[in-house]
This record gives sequence, C-alpha cells and structure tokens, in this order.
Amino acid sequence: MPRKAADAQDAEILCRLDVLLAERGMTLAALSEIVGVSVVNLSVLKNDRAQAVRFSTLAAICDALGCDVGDLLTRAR
Amino acid sequence: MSQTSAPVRPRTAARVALVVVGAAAALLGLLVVVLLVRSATALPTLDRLTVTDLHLGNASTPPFLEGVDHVGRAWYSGVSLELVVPPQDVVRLALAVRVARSLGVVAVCAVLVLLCAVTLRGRPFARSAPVALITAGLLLVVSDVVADVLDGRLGSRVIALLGDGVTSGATDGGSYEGLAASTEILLSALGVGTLLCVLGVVFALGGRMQRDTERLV
Repeated sequence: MPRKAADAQDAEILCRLDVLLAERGMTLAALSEIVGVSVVNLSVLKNDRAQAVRFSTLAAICDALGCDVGDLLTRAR
Repeated sequence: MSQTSAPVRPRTAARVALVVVGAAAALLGLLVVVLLVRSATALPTLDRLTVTDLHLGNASTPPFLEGVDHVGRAWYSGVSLELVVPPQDVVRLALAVRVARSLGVVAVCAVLVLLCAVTLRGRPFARSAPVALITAGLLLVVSDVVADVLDGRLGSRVIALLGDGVTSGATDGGSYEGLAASTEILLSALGVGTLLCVLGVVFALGGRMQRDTERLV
C-alpha cells in the first residue's frame, strides 16, 4: 500500500554525507563553514536523524561537495 | 521523539516580564486559595455574614440627587447587609458562591503560570498548553455561571429569611420599594473563557507547526 506524506513511519531515506566527505577529505566543520549550516544540524543530516531538509540546504551542500542531490540522498531499499 | 531544533528563548526584557507575570499569577492564585480555605474554616463559626448586591425592586431616588441639575433620574441598584447569626444553609450557599468564583480565578492563574514557564523554556507550544487553556476556559465559564446562579439562590434565600416585609411589590395605590430576587449572569467571564478556549485551539495548531519544523535541517 502506498505511503502517505504524513505517515509517521520511517521515510527510509539515507544520507551519504559521510561517504562524500571522506571521498573529498573534508571535515564536517569545514563543510559547515562553507555552507553556513551548524555542525549540529549537519551531524543530524549525516546520521539520518533529519526529518526534513530545506532545498537551500541541499543546494548549498551539493555545491560545496560538487555532487548531485541523488548522490547525497538515497532510498534505503 | 528527540528534538534537535534549539528552543527559541525570549530576549532578556521579555524573560523578565514573563518571570514577573508568572510569579504574580502564582502569588495571586495562592492568595485566592488561602483566602478560600480561611473562609471555609471561618464562615461556619461566624456570627455575622455579609451579603452584598441584593437586587432592589422599585428603587427610590437617593434624596441627595433629587432636583440636582443634569440628573434626569437616579435610583439605588442594590443593597448590602450583614446577617446576624445566619442559618447554616445561607452560610453554605455563601461559601459555595466563593468557591465557584475562586475556581475560575485559580484556573486562569494556573494556565498563566504554565504559559510563562513554557515560553521561558523556549517551547511555547508545549503539548500541555492547549489542554490547559481549554480546561481553564471551560472551568472559568462553568464556575462563573454556577457562581451567578448560586448568588441568585443566596439572594432568594436571604429574602425568604427576612420575610415578606422586605420585598418590593405593587399595590392599588402604586409600587413600593424592597428587595427582589434575581439572577444575573454576567457575560464578561463567558467572553474570557471563550477566548481561552480559542487560544487553546490556536496553541494546538502552533504545536503541530512546531513539530513540523523539528529535525529540519
């Protein structure tokens, strides 16, 4: 059965921020400086604890890492 | 659910104002409760009971206002009196009126303290706020209506106690002044109670919006 947007169940979207940072040899603190998002919030995103991401945040991270949105976020299955 | 979005704490001036308002509300609520307990313990043993604002029927004109310029008509609106050795049922009615009036005030004070506390913590849309606001609003409306009805019954009981000689009425020759039984339900508390209920719904919506922004990056 298709899910609803308001469903409380896990969205099963994974963030590959740690992989992308490792590939580029960049730290979370450095990315925080570049995109202007706090380390705490980037850590929430990296550890898949975020429930929502602003388009502006996505665009800034993708610009800083030189990747696409699909490289940053993937489905768990 | 864990919350990662930082609470938005009010500025210093607002914090000071919230502390002052919250403390004043807590003190007022406490004072009302203390006075109520004192009344409850003292009233049954008192040999005098003051009854205020008994309705006056066919009220006469105050002599000092008769013939005064710019006064078209003047009349007394109520009578306050002190009953000597009041019967226990009258005392119980008087106490019930005080309890009912105090309940609404205590409820409003409690909800004010809660709102100040959650706002100081930076989480004004706490889950408890809508429930507290709606409960206080309903309690205020119900307690005030009950107090007004009991006050009317108290007046009727006092008039019955004093006898037919004190009541107003009409004769063939005209009307004569005296006490008259009446029940007045004031709308001010109904308005404030309704306002609190509407605020409760607003806070419930605010809480949902607050939850929507939690863990937003």
